[in-house]
Amino acid sequence: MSLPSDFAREISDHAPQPGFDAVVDRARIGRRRRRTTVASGLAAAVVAAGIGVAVGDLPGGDASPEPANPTRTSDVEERIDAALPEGVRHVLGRDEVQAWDVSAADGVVAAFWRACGELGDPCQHAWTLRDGDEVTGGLIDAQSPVVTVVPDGWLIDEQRGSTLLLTPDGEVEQVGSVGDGGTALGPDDAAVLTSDGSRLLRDGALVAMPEPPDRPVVGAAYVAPGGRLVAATSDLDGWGAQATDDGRTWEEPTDGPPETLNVQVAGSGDHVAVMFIGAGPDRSVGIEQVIVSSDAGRTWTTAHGLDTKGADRSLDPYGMTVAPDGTTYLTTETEGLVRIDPDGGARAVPVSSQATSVFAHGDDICVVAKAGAIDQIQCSSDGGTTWAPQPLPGLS
Amino acid sequence: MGRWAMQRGNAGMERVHEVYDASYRRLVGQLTGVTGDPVEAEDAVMEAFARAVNNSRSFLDADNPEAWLRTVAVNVTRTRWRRSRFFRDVSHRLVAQESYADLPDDRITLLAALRRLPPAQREAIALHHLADLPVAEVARAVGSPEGTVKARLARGRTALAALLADADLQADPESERSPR
Repeated sequence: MSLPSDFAREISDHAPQPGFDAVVDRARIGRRRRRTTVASGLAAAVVAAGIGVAVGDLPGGDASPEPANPTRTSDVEERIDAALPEGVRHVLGRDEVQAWDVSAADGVVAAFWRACGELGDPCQHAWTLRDGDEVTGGLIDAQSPVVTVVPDGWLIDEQRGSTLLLTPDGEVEQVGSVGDGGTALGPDDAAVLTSDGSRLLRDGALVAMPEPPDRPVVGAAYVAPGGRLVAATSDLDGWGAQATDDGRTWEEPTDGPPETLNVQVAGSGDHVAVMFIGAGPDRSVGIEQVIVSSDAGRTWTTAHGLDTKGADRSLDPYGMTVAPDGTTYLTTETEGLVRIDPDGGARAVPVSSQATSVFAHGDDICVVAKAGAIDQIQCSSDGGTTWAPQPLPGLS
Repeated sequence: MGRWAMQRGNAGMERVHEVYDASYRRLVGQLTGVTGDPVEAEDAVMEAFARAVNNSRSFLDADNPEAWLRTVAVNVTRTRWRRSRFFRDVSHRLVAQESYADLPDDRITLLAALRRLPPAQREAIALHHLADLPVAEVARAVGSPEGTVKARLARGRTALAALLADADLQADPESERSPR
């Protein structure tokens, strides 16, 4: 096998070079992230690991670049729960493993793990559940599964024609599809995104998602109690948020910014949040706008205090959830955790400079935060003022 | 801020600008093998320069600024997974356009194969064979001993040869991230 020695030069010849202003703008964003991290360290002792990461970025160190990412040690191996099946323990013990999605349903916390690396089977996936002191786990036989939290557990779309339901007691069931489902909307429906598009989960089966007549694309969606559907819908002109009570008659859409490329929707009770995501000229992925509703999408309030246009704009959103009290929480790479009150007021929450999954767990709000070689969960029962750590399911 | 620190800060910014003009595109070329995606490489290199601005003392003290940037960029690629959840949804629309549309097919195939290699092997193969860096410099960039890098190179060459011989590669489910 011979590899082209001119490959790097060839790419270089194609690469467009932005002006140096783009570097300066990005550096400014980085400085703000560092300030947030230091402030969070002053505010809460639980973020010691986050500070450790940030200190490596501070000027004044030696001439060495940042060290490589922390590698897992035998300490991590010893933290893997012995009660887990051997295959799951193997996945959690791999150097490359990441908890890519963590959430809670019916009082049970689930972590979905991904470890990529082996040739021919480049990624291994596993799930672990923790219910009190009980820990269970299993493997997922898929390369790019997509997980959605539903009232009865977690829907796992294996992206190859099969869909599974993982229940809070650790049972895995096949989920069938029954076409259009017969009725437009049901009171116990849950909205899910699958590889085939947006669907409703009804009575353990996937049924078609209703579509507004003049907006043929339905993306992420949420079904409020009573069966009212709030969905991201789109036509050729762009994305918006749109609601329907029966799936047949749709209200007028609330338009999102024209730059929108993707929309996320989350809800709890009648509280709903819609995040419009776009891409900047420098290819950064940023939040264009967030709107929140306390009446299941009848009226909307645009979040304020969230920088969506300037050099310090919020970039790289990762997760979003709505707490039972109507507060929306989202995570971004630039700001960590951000809370948006029902009146639209947004502010960064000092918990960690690196936060990924965020989810409601009963009345608590929990976030997965960087903590050395492997992440940990931080939960707050007072709206983000104080935080208590707990390990990811499957680890001690 | 004291006068000395201010002068040093200005010198740092000027130096980063100078190196940016001279090295940005070369670094993107080198990092593209590491990421398997030139757009991801652009992003990592841009982030490395931004960190150089914010770490100007460390950057100015570095014997080899380009090597400093390369190491930072490699580390950045290792944390990119954090953004992948939403990034994947939009990135294919972005990479489908503009700059890399006329890369030859064999380069597209090579990038697809690289994306399927384990990350550590991909880093070694990309920096040594594609970017033409000596093993010692690769070891510094990835933060591993030279012996480890050599072992990764050997395993990576075997794996890459098998992938490139695989006629089914065109069906790579990751192909949406191809620069075409």
